[in-house]
Amino acid sequence: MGPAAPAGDNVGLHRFAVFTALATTFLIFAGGLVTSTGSGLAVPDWPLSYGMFFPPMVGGVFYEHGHRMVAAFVGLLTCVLAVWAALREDRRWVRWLSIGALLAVIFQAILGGITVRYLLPTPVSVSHAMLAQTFYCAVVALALFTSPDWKRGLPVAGDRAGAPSLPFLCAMTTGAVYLQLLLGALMRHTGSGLAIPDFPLAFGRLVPAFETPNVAIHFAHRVGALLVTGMIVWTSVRILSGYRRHARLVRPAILIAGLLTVQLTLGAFTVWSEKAVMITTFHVANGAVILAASVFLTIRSFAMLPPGGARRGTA
Amino acid sequence: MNSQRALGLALALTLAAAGCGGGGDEFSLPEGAGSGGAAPTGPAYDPATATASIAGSILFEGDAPEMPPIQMSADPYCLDAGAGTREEAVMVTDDAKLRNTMVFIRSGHDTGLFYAPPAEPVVLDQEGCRYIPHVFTMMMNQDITFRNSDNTLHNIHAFPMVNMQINVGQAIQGMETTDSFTIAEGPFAIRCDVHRWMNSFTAVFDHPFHTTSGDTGDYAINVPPGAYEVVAWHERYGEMTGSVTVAAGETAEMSFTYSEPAE
Repeated sequence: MGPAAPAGDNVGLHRFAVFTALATTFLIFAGGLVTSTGSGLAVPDWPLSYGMFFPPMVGGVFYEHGHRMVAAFVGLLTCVLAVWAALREDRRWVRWLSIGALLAVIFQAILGGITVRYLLPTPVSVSHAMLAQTFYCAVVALALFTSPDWKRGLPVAGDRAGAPSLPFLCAMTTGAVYLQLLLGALMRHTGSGLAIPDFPLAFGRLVPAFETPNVAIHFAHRVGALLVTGMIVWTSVRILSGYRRHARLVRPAILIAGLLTVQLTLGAFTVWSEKAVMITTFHVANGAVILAASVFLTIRSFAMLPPGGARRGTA
Repeated sequence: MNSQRALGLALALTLAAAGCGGGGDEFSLPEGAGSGGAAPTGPAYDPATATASIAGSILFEGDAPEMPPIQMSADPYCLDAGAGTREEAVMVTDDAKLRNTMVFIRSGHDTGLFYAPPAEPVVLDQEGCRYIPHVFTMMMNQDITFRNSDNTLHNIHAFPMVNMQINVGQAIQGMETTDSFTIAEGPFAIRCDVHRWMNSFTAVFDHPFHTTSGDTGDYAINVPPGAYEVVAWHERYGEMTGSVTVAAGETAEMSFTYSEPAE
């Protein structure tokens, strides 16, 4: 049994934030299912579904309306989270972050409605996908910021020596993952997922002829995968070699490296299986989890490696 | 404390970030099967001048591929109502004729005339969780009525390239919705996103010289005397063209022969 949480830890809020983050993971999976099954327009109206709150859950309606139901649940959780934080959270910036998350999920719902009403315009659908990732990161950050571990003050692991410093390297990795998810969303919503039908080569070559924009988008996503792999390996090696004694950094680094291995495998099988629904959807969801884990690691690294290595007090 | 505040602010700001991209659609079809373009605004076409006829058959050479049964387990109603339904992409009659092929005039007709759309709407029914008819033609500005004869919900999602897309839901049996396409364009698909196996094909014309090979594999188009380019279009086998000249009171025979392409 671990040490008791200090007074003011508000463990309930933290647990609720963790639950919201887990629910958001499932929401992203459910959203991925909508696109993977081509069910985005199976319910042509919004906010109601066929004029009903709960239509028969048949065919594509199961995926599209199911996604809406899970989204409504996550929206409700986020609302409770924001109210809870407003009432019980001392740190103003955490309260603002929870309000930001609430605004994001509201805007996300509106974007979802727009994309249905306007028959899946690519810019709106891609924005919907990326705001989902951003919202997910915010909720994961809230879970981290409200944790007793964070509130007690994380131990200092060193300073920001080296170029780039570890926090900056982690931030760059997170940025690379985010851009890669953007390319992935662009690929899905332009129907470019099989624009290059073979893997690991592209039309039997290392670099294909860019005869259509779809091929270029698809290939950019593959190049992005290489870049992200390089960034994650770089970050992991840096942590494992220089911060081996700091489990708070080592554990997420190992997790991200493991998730990356899974992600690359899923990506290959997405092509080989000609976009089998479950494989493709797990590829989407796992990509989101990598981003969330990378955000988590980035925040921790900034906290544990403060400028000048000065010990940071509790928040 | 400062770095924490900065982190929180940065995360709050990133909530506004969102991606963007170009347009596109995963569905594509051969272009140019229809005559295309806007409506002529000249004198009205008189149907009584269509004293000639072009007729023939859509023949199929070789063994027709067997169409697989449709897996309808996504909807219990369809599983029952559509039991035994097979895909309709290639349907060949007992006398080796290909059904569901569009046939239309691409050129040769008087493009300076105004061809009024028929007053009767085209009806696209949803019955047994399939579209009936599977292939049909229509004129621009002609009404098209979507009907749901099924006791389950459907959406009708048309994928034209030139006209505005249509996506309407019909939750109730017997529900009808009427719409139209205002610009002539080549064949495009209509699909149900609820039941992904449901598809139908149509083309929109600015003249009345078009039909399908229907259930028999035969067709006939009444035209004014003249020389015409005739086009056959099939959803799997694509387009074939031919030229024919026909005089008043005569019927010109123009048949097309499709076959399964070699692997």
